[in-house]
Amino acid sequence: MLINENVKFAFSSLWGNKIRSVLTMLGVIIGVFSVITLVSIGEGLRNEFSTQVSDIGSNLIIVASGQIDTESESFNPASLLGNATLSVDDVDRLKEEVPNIEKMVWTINMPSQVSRDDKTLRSTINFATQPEVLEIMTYDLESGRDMTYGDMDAKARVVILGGQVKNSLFDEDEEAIDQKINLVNEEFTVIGVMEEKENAISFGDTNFNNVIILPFTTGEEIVEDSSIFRIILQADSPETVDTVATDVNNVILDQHDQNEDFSVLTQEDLLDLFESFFSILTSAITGIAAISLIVGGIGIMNIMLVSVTERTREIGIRKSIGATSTNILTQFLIEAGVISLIGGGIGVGLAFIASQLIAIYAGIPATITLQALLLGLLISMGVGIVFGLAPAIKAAQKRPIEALRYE
Amino acid sequence: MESTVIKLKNLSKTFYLTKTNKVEALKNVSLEIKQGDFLALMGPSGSGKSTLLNLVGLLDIPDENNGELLIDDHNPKDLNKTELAYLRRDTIGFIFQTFNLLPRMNAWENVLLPMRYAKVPRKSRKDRTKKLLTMMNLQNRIKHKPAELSGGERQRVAIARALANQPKIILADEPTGNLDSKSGQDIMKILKELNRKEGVTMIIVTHDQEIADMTDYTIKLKDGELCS
Repeated sequence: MLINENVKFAFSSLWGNKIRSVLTMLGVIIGVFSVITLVSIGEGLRNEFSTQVSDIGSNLIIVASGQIDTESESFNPASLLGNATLSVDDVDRLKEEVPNIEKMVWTINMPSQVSRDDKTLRSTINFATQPEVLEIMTYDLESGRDMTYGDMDAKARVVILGGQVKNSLFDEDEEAIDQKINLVNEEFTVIGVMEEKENAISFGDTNFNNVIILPFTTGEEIVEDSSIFRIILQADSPETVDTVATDVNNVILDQHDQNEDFSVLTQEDLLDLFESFFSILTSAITGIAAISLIVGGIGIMNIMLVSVTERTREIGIRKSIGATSTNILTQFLIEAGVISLIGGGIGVGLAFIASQLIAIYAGIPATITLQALLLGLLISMGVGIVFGLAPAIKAAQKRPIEALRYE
Repeated sequence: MESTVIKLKNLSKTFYLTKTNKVEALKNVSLEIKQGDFLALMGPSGSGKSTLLNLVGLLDIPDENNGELLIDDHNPKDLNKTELAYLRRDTIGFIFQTFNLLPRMNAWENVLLPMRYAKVPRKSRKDRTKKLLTMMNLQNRIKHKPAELSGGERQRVAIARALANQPKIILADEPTGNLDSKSGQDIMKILKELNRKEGVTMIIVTHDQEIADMTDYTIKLKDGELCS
């Protein structure tokens, strides 16, 4: 067949017009590059997120103040910062009325800066809660001891620090246990330091590397308010998560006079929330990519049309020595295909480099999937063939006698 | 008895420059050329030489009238575009005044190309290319591109290419027109030898009486009509 010869000739004609070829390819390069890079970042984030969501303990249900709608396509982060509309009464009713709850903790928000000597942190997340919190969230202590009910009864001024907080307040090899820190204008003793999890994501909105946890009763005494910020429950098995969530929702709804000023989220909901976010992102990416590929395709068509005119005489010669119209059509189609395929290849290569760099410098685990790679190459070749068709037909239809006369 | 390979009967070709302004390039030309003929086609410019050559070479189609054209017993009117391309590929070899080699291909590739179009098996086409280039005394010029060859060498590559698919007819349009007289003489010798040894029918369009004298007979055209 003539495929070999055509591919070889396509390369030689590309090589003969290097700058033009590169410019022609540019649209396809950028298109394929952006699709694959963005898709790989999205894919990486998605993977990372699902692993982390399943990492933060199992069968969790969170009740948050304010309304978070996981069903709709839109996701408003501001809704996560609702006012504290829950109360201890809600918790009491849950305890009484909802079966299949394994563990439950509830938190009071304690916004405050934290300081030690001359170091001050303003962005820590401080909350008061029950001793089971670390168990539910599957966090271990790196050093020190866990909070106890003794601390609760004594309303002790003690805290457990998230790994990142410890690193910010203390030097690397400095012992934090039994040291004093200042919070909400009182002095607290550090009793434990949590292990630091890489890329810890939050359940709701709390990055656990950045928390300071104190006993619930202590918090209650200090803020003189029993508004609850979050209730975190653990169902006793994966099968009961949904029923527990429904029960919790009904009980609190009843308690709040049917006023839906709270949200009940499961890990599933959380995943859904981010899935919907990613799907918006994906459609946006697809849109951008489609536009740049069309622009790239038009570029190829433009250059191929010029090329066909320029090479009218060559077409005439080929026809005079026995080329059929199909031979000529194939030749120009292959040429367009080769241009766009090389462009696609370069795009894939650049995307691969970019994803590595992003992984190293931005810490986003971008993964290039085989599908994304094949899709990129396939689409680029498709673009070449679709947009190369018109010029190729034009070439094939040239009459040999006129083509030969062309100067 | 020698068979007729090209037959023209009352053949005409009219070009329409505009709807009303037409040029009758050929008027009722009748002609028979036999297998193995070696002839010159002469005439002043505008006399219809090239038109005739293009019709015989199946690059152009004659007027739709009673006229008849037969190439190797095929009537182009009965053939579709692809069949025309096949007939051209298998029956006719072209040699042009301006050589018309593909500039990005070397001598070897230029000679090989018609055989690729004819789907000649790899081994045979390689052997034939080698044989043809050696026959044209170009065995040391195989990798050279047209720009790296002299005029005479280029025309020899073109002859090798024209011979690639063992055509019955070779149509040469002023093959020596762009060459010095020494190279021109050489090319004519080669063509004559091909005619004698291989029996290829040769039609050579020329202005040059000296070239015409080297052929077996001459056909003269004037204002689109035969005048011999």
